[in-house]
Formats: sequence, structure tokens, C-alpha cells
Amino acid sequence: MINKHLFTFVIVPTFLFVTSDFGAGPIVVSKEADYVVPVAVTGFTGEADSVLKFDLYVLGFNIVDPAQAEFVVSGSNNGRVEGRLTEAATKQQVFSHAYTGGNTRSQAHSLAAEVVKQIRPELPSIFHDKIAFRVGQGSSAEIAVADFDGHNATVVTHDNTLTATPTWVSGAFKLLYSSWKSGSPQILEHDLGTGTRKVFMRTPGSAFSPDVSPDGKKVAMILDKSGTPNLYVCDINGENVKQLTFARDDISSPSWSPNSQDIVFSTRSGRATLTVVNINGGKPHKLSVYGSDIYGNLTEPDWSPDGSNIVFTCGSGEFSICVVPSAGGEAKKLVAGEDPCWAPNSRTVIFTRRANHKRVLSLLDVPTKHVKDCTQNPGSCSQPAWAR
Amino acid sequence: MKKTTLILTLGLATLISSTGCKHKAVGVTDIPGMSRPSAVPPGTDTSGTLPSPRASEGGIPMSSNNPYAKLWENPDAATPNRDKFAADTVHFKTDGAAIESGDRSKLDDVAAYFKGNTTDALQVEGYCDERGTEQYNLSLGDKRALSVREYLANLGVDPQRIHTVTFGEGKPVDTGHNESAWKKNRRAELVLLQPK
Repeated sequence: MINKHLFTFVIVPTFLFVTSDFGAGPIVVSKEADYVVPVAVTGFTGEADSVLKFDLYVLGFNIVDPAQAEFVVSGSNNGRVEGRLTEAATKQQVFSHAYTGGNTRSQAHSLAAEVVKQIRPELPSIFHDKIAFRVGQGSSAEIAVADFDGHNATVVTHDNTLTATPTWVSGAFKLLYSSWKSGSPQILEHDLGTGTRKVFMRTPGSAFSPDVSPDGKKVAMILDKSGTPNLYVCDINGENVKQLTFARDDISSPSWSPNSQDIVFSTRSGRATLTVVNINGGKPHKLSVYGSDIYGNLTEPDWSPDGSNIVFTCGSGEFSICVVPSAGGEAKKLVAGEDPCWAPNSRTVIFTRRANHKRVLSLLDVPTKHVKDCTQNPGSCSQPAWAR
Repeated sequence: MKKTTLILTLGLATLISSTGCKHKAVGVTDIPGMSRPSAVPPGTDTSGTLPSPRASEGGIPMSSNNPYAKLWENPDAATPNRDKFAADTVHFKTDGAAIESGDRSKLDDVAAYFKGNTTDALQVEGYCDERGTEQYNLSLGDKRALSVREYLANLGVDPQRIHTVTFGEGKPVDTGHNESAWKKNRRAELVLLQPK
């Protein structure tokens, strides 16, 4: 079954570095992760201004007046974005860049990325990243791809049926997701570059919630051919299918560890809990998750790319995004929401928020709990997957 | 770094600046109030282990060589009849997939139909209310459909005649946001598939 869908991908032209004017030396800003850096953004208008403020807030900065700022991002966007970063106390200029190519929006993202790089050099930039997500409209749902902030969304399926649980193939411009096109959910592989699709997993029952290992070699997924939804892994070519759990109740939402050796998932056995299994054998073990305000079902875990933490959803009826060390321990409740997914910086999380009986995508800075909704797209948007 | 590779592969955005490439390493971000976990090997967690895996615990397996499968895999092979068992929709407790005692007589009737018929198949569709997370509901809806399959199999219906589909919280019968609606939506619908 191959359906071709023309996926128009916007090539963003190369940004040209135009000027550089470094100050007296490299600035070193060593801040605690949860320190909110006060920054002023001056001189920009319209989209450039809003993109800069959005990006910096999402990365844990507070946008303040110049008088209260530790750093000032000043510049202009007349034809092209030009910007400078200055340390307020010393008036020392950290950098001065101008950007060409792309559009105002992508230029502003580049300037924001440079600001973050100077102040939090440990963080990889996320401002040019892509996300995939599910868009529900009426009784059907399709898969869409967009910028990390919800802009430039393109619906990539047109099946007029249910689709769900998109995930990126690590290091490739490809998605895996479940489609009900043939009746029951089957996992399809969708090459976004060529628009070609193929059935990734053919099984006598249902297949959903795929997750590709970070090394790109294996896929974890839920199959029910044993008679119960269980966790399976297979090679990236769909072969060598192996059953990892033998649950009486059902298993859901697997996520790989960064070393591609372990998988965390949710087990419904009475109350749903988080469980970890090594793909090379051994018993699955329950992850210890405790906390005074952690209650209800623990579902939808996502292992941070740096391996430190697992973010998940807790609750029943009303849900919260929570985070727990990946070895287990005390969990912290962060904000209301569901289905969290880490960005490659292991700091930003994209998640789903219920609003007016539909779902919207939102971004969370875990250390500061800053939250910004993504650009609203038509339909109910959920199940975000960050390309990483 | 993978992300960098992806971006370069796509030609998405090549950012040339005075400082050149992006960071190579992904740093470890401390979450406030949490110690950085040491490398505890899997299996050493003391919070308890799941029961040993036994294949028999996983329900009734599906066959990859199932003569009835064409009835649901080929849309031209069967006529779906949603009316036949419309009154036999079964309902579930919140977060539950067990067949409730009040619904057993419905499934007894369905089993009786299949004992007197050798050609038809059954599609069981599992649904959830909106109060679970979406991926949890996909698995729970699946388990609900499979519970019906298992129950009917225990009554003597060949399980290979029963096709299960989960719709998670998709396709609610009542779009309300109250217990009355949720109760109706936690269900398994039974669709008769009759060969053309």
C-alpha cells in the first residue's frame, strides 16, 4: 500500500554571517538551570520581536525592561534581522550578527539561538527543529509536521480516517505512525522527503505507539497478537520481531533510553505505573515513582535525551506533566497537561493541553516551569513528537 | 550529533556564524531539587518486579494464517452489519477491561449465534471515555475488545473468527463531558461481518 502525498518542504536558505564584533572576551554565564535570566529585547518590531521574546521565554528567560535586564538584545529588522547581545552591567557587547536568507521568522530564530548559545552554552539549539503531531477533526485524525513552535504546519496525511502516535525515525526525515486506513491500526513508514509510504509492521492484530531507538536501529511498539497489548521490538527494517512483555493487563506508550538498551512504558494493572525493561532480556521492573501530589495513572513516559530524567503524565480525568529521575525516586509535578516529549536539549518539553474540549500543543521549560502555547492550528492537536 | 545530522540532511537550515558548528555534546540538565541519578543498572530497583513472563498470561494469541481474516482485511469480502448486535454493546468500569456480570448474557447470546453459524466473523471495537490519556486509551480500548474476544472464546467461539480494533477515545457515542456520557463511551461494539 503506497500512497503518495506531495510534501512541500520549505528550504530555508543559508543565513549569511555579516558582521561580528566581539567584546573584550568570551562571556561566561554560569547559571543554575532554574535561574531565570532577565533579558530585554529592544528595537525589533512585529514578527521578529514576537519570535525573539517567545523563544527566549521558552528557554527560561524573562523578558523585562532594559533597566531590570542582565542582558539586552537590541537590533532591528528592516529587511533583515540584525541583533546585538550586550551585558547590561558592563555594557560589554557579546556579539553582533546580521542574518540574510530565509525569512524574518527564521532569521529571528537564529538570533535567539545565538543569544541562548552565549548565555547557556551547554544547550543545543532547538529553534529550527521540527515536530510531528496528530490533528483531530471530527471523527478523523491526520498527522501534521510543523516548526517546534507550531508555525508552518503541514498536514502530511489525507486518509480521512484515524491516524495516531507519530514518531520520527532517528536521524531521518521519516515518520512512523499508526493508521486505521485498513480497518485496524497498522504502523506505516512515511518518507517525508519523497512522500512515499509503506506498511512498516504487518500483524494479525493491531500495532500502535511506535518509538524508534535513538541509535536508529530498532523500533519499540505495542502489538496485540498475543491476545493482549504488549511491548515488542523489531529491527528498523521491520524484521526480527521480539515480544518483551507478557502482561495480563495492557501495556502502553513505550519510550527508549538514550543508550537504546532500555525501554520505559506504562503498565495498567489496577493503577497504571511506569515500568522499565532491558531489550536484551531480564525481568521488567517497576520504576519507583513517589511524591505527595503524584496520583492516578502514570502514563506516556518519555526518557530525556541526556538520560537524566523521565517526563510522564499523571492523574485521572485531570492530568499533569511530571518528571522523575530516570533511576526512579521522587517525582515533581510541573504543570497541567498530557503526553510530554523532550526536546533534544533535555530541558524543553512539548506537551498537550486540554482547552475548551479540544487539545492544543504547548511548550514547557522544565527548570523554570515557563509555559507557552504553540501557534494554534485548526483541529485538536495532540501526541507531539520532537524530531531528535 | 543526530539532530545536527538531521538538519544538515534536510537542508533545513545551515547556520553559518562566527562560531561555526553547533554543540557536539548533549549536556546533563539538572532538574531543580533533584540529584543527578547515578548509573543504576536496570533490574536493581527495589520497588518490586513484575511477575515472571509466561506466554500463557497474554490472552489468546492471533494466528497469522487465519482463513477468516479476509472478512476484515478485504472490504469487498464482507458486509458489516452493525444492527445485528447493536443491543449487545458491552460497557466497562472506569479504567477497567473486565466483562461485567450484567453484560454476560449479551455475550452468551452472541456466542450462541456463532455456534449456529460457520461462515460469519465478528469485529469487536473497543472504545474509551475521554478521561484517560490518548496512548493509554489506545491500549485500554484494545484490551477491552480483546476481553470480549477472550470471553466469547471461553464460551466456545473460535477466537480466529473475532477481529478486534481499538479506537481509544475516538468516536464517542456521546460527546458530552459528564459521567453519563463517559459511561456510554466506555464500551465495546460488536459488528457482524457476513461474507458477500
